[in-house]
Amino acid sequence: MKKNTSPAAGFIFSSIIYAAVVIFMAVDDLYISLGLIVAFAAGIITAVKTGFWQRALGSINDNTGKMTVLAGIFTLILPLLFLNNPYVIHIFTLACIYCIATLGLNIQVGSAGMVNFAQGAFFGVGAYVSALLDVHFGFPFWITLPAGMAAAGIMGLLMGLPTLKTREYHLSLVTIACAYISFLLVMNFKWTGGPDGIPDISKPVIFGMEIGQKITLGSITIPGVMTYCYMVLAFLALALIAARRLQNSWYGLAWNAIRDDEISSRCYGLSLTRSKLEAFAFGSIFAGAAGALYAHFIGFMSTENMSFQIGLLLVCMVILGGMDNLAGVLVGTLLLIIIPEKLRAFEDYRMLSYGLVLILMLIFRPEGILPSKPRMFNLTGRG
Amino acid sequence: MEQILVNGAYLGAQYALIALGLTLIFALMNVMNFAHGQMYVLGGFVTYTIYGQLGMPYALALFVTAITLAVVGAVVEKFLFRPVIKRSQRDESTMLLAAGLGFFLDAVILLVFGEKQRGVPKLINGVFNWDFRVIMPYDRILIFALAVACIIGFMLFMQYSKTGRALRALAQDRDAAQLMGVDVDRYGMTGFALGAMLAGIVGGLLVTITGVNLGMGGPTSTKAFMMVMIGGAGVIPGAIFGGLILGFMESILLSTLASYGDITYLVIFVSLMIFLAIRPNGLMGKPWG
Repeated sequence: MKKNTSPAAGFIFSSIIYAAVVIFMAVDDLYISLGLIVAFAAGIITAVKTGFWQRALGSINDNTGKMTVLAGIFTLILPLLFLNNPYVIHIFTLACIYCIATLGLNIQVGSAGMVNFAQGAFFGVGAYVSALLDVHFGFPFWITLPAGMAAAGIMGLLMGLPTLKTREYHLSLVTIACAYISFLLVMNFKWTGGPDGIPDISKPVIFGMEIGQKITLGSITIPGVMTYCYMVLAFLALALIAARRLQNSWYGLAWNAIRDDEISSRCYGLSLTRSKLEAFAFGSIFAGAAGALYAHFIGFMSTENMSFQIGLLLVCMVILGGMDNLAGVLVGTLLLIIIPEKLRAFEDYRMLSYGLVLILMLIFRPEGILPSKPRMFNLTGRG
Repeated sequence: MEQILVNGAYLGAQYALIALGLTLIFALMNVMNFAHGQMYVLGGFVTYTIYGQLGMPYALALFVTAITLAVVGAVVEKFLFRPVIKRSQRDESTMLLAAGLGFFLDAVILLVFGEKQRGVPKLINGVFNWDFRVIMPYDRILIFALAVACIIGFMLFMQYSKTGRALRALAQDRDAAQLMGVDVDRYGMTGFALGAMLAGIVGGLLVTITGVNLGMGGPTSTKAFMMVMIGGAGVIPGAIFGGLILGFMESILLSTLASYGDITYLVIFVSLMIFLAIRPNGLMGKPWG
């Protein structure tokens, strides 16, 4: 039953988008950046008017496999294009770390329909557990990372319990309360460093090589961020595979059923308690991994990075990109990290750009940049 | 003890007024307005500009603040919330829109008024002192009285005026109200304007005591959200109770827990979670379904 559209339109389309993103990231000047945003918006409007947009998106949808490979290649090349500009790689790495967190949040917000503002707190739990184990006990990253993930997962389960009886806005309020509780606890304990945070978190080591060190190969110097960036990309790939498999599994189906109608999914024998707790646990494991990666990347962790604001921002990324659509979540996250970062020359305009991006997107595309498609039951057995 | 109760009542009256605006908007449009705290800050800054900077009388400043915020609310409803509600199927979109609006207002306030803490001259000098058991500056008493007057005025307005009746009908059942000839779009806008106006008035009242700064917006939104949920979403008496409860809790816990560090809100949030696990719809909320 598959339409076979040629992949050409999709290839051209994604190459243009990629080129635009690269140019945008390379430009330093604020006014040129603003000009590029305007030009980009104009380009999108013309593409929609001429019908190219729809054709390209159709082509991408029909050739998912090829497009995934293309996107993978594009992403792998991206850091190499900025060998002389470690700052851009730094931003890109941060964006990828946040992508892992939003992929997890998407399980709760997108798949299961529970708007969770506490993902920032789970991010912080992962980061703090990993950082504390590293700083106080000297465990290597490869032990502290799973420990951080496990701690975040257990936190997620615990927070899932009081949300079970609540719905919609009340559920959101419980998650907000949880975000503040974690924040205030970390702030008030002595052993977490309180408001001072934890400095001097070490970098991970693979085969005796410290990741994040500068490497010199003949005449080329590879900046330290680069190696960390590739490590994060590897983790992001793992997270994507995990999220994809979860989405296509019975877990994902159960979450979607609960989102659409709780009563009827109960009638079909789903355990709401179990499914909801699973959504919280799985989602927060992602956040824990992202937090650990963040703490070791920056080398410093403070409560500022686990506040309610971060949770709110993560929710914005998921909804902006398109709920329950992995590609959409990635796009939304990149957009909300990179655009404000480019405009940081004028710190005052940072919030303005957040607000404007969100408001404009909602007016033109209320369902997000890439809305999720309805699940299709494929009779041939292959999706 | 008397002092703590008086402080609680004073805080609670302010909080209740903030929560009233939020719950009104929620009842009418099913929108949780995350920008409510920013509207409150905006109101504070408008009053600061007119009363503190230009030296106009306070009553005029408060009046202009109310009008400005009502206009902001009406514009936001007409050009942002109404189109998005019409076009999107999921509630999350409006939540995101409100969050985006909050960021936007934050930025606008930062650009127009700067990031400094701003205060205005005291309205009245002097302190009310009852045998050192209750000590209350006169201006606080005045602000408290104004807040209570606003709450009573708002409730009378909702109960007896034609607009209030239309708003209550709209909150009860949108479709039925439309069938009875209520202009849903117009009264939706009126309600939103009224909600924003209440937020602005509180800002204008509190600027005389605590001053305003940019960072107050987000936490105020969260507090307002809590109060509405404690009382029951979309229920007017619920919002007042929620505000009073939070005000009293804050004032009691602040004085009793002071020796254990800054954990007042930790205790409040934990008790909130327990409360919501027992009564998921708040004190007066309607059960689901």
